[in-house]
Amino acid sequence: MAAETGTPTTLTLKSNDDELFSVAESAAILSVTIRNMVEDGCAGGVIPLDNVDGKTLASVITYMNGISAIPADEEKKKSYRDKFLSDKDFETLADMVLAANYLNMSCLMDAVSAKIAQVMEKKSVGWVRRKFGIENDYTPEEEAAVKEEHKWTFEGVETDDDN
Amino acid sequence: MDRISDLPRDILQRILYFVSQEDAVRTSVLSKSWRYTWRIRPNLDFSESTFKGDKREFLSFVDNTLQQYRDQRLCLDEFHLRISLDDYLEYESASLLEEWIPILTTMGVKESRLSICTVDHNDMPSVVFQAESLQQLHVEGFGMDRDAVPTIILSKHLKKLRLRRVHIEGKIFQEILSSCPLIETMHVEKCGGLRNIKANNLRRLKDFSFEGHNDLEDCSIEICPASLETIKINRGKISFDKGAEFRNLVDLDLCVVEWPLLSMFSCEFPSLKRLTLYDCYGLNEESSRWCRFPSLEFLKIFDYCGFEEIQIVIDAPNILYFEYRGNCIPSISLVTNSRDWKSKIYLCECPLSLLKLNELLKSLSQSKIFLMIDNPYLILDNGYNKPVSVESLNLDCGCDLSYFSSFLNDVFCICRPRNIGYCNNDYGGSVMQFVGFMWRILIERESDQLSQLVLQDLEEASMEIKEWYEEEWHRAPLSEFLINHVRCEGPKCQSRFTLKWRETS
Repeated sequence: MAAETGTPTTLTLKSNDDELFSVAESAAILSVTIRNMVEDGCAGGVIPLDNVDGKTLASVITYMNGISAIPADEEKKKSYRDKFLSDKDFETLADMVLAANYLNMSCLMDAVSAKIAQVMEKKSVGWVRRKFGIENDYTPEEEAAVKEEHKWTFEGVETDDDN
Repeated sequence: MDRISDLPRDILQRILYFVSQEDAVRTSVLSKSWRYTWRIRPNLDFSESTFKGDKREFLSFVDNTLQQYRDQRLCLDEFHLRISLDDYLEYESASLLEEWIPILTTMGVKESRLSICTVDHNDMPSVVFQAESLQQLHVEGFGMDRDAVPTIILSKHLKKLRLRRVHIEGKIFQEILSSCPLIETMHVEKCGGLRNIKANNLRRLKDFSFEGHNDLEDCSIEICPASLETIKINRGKISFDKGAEFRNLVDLDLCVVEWPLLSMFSCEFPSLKRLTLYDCYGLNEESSRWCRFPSLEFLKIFDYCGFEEIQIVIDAPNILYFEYRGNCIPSISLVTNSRDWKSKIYLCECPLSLLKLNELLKSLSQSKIFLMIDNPYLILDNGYNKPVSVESLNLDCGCDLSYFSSFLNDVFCICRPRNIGYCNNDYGGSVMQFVGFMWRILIERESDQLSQLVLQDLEEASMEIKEWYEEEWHRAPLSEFLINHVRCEGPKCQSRFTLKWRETS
């Protein structure tokens, strides 16, 4: 690591669809996976990230650069994360959470998980099924029985046509 | 494409961690593969108030869930329970609690939060303090005597303690504090039996609030950990150790507290930003004091008894706002570099010494002053000299208008307000009389009302009005105000007089 000489070290990351990205080492080591590679001296050439595609990696790098530019102020970091995730659809969030898990970035992992959880908040079963593309394989009788068992959880849920 | 069902288990677990308990349980209706998925959630959060079924169902749901987690060796890191023990199932609830807490310990739960309340001062179940994982505890309405609080307390990790309407002796309370050295937040509200609190050994305490019991002798509070960030005390006796340094204290709010200033003078408050003293009493008579608050931004002193006896100089280089309300004129002055600050002085039923008021206004003359005088009785004295510029002056509109012009003459000798309005009390049309009277003496300059001296200095006067929903004032003749004031229902149309004074040397 060349941090002490004053020139910021840049790493090159490679996505699984062979896109190359260069990113400051100080931002990239937010990922424990990358940090371990750097510490083990594997970061000399290109770091291959086999589980992340180029589109997702670009987005993760935007996050890495954005969050590492904020000084130690938890509130500002949180509002950056909220803003960063505010316009992401579920497909993108699912890609991000997988990438965050693979890259071992707990702060991004928690933020994306909380965002997905927020999508489900007080939403009807039908709405969640449609949103996440979940196929209902219960028979009507089975579904009614499960609903009856947990009927207290249906109070205050947003109404929906095929609830 | 069903991506969420295909996510790896540890990611799904993390997502479910952030979902509420009812949203998590409801996912069992999504599809067969989701039937039991919610149970990978590493946290359980049961609140009687959000559970919409009856109490018996609630108890059996908590009981079944906890047993399933235990029997299937599911991971449980956090357990939160909010429950009341004051209905027909009181004993059943208490005995279930006796079973649940040991389960938490055997399952290795890392953090539990418990909120229990009752109305009739039963003994709190003693099992509560056996919960090793307990981090937050809120107890309301119970008795906490020797039967409820065992000599050996296992909840060493307690961070947040809130006791409300609890009956507890000082000795037992001290035992809890000495067993739980990690407490960061402590709220004690209306607890009977508590005569003293000694919290000097809680080295991590950040947030302390106390509300005394109306019917009992004041509780004496000794509190000075350097970790403290906020202190809020309502009805109690506080003593700060002499020379103590409250390094991190940002907020200090004392209400009906004896002698607060006297013990404060000997301590250091380098970070204090907000200081509020409300209805406090006790000052050393006939003394003068100087105190320094390097970070102070907001200072509020309301109804402090004994303030006329003391001269206080407050060195507050960063002050933004000073508010005083009381029935005497204080001898207080603020030393500051601050350029842009406000002071609001509200004198109510106050013996109005013009000399003292002039002194006070002079000491605040670097700020934008808002002065309100409500129902004064005037003490005629003299010796005052230069009138001080004041942003606004609000007067009691219900006062006797027969002596009002001479009162106004006196007030104009000590201050030159940019605006004059009235305090917000309207007893049967007195606002209209008041405004009409002010119009005659300030705008029409009716003779014999204002002294020649004052009139010479008054260059221009005009009336402005605004409706309650409007932001801006606008100029208007008296007739417009009278029509609007009579017509509108609810909040009234307001008026003020804007005055332009000649520069006096």
